[in-house]
Amino acid sequence: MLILSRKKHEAIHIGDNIVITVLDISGDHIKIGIDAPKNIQIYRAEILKAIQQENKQAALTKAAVQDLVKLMNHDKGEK
Amino acid sequence: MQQTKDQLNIFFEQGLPGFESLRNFLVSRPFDNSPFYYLQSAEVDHICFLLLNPFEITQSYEFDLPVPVQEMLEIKATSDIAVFNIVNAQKDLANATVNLQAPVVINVNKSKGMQVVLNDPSLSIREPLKNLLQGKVGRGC
Repeated sequence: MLILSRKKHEAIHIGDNIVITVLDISGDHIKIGIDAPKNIQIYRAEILKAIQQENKQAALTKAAVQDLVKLMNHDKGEK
Repeated sequence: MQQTKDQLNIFFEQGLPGFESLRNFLVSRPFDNSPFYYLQSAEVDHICFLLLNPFEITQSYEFDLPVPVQEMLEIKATSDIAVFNIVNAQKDLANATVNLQAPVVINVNKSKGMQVVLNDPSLSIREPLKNLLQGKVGRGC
């Protein structure tokens, strides 16, 4: 990992078209501005990780999913 | 691949988070009167997700689709769009949850899809399915 020290308002260029700027520092909060092409997806790391984990938990076999849907339809019919 | 009326082949250029290598999925609807759909991997047989069309059960779920996503999916009109949420029913049906923060957005006319990770902390990754079915989710609730 490349580690750089930056002060407020200083920036980092990544490749030709990504610029990361330190906008503000307040205690242990840092506000970062990111200029990047629209097709680059930018996520908070903990959110992306949570979604990845959620998807892995949610993945089932088709047979299991079919059973669930049958159950749901059955429940609905009874109420 | 064959495109039939009740089964759509959708290309996910970026895969799904956690399944980045899976690009091709089949979307199908088991029952006409049900808000549930299947999202079956065309590449890995044993990977299938249960999807929910939120707008068939609630009017109050809403989000802004980021412009870059609209461009990637070549969305020109709202009629291009189908929205689904992945249901996590791993434990059991009574405790099933729905991922509202990362909806699966599909351009049905271009057969392109993407699971969009929204930067909206008010949308839950694990909203109880019960709440949705009872209309207890969304703005104004």
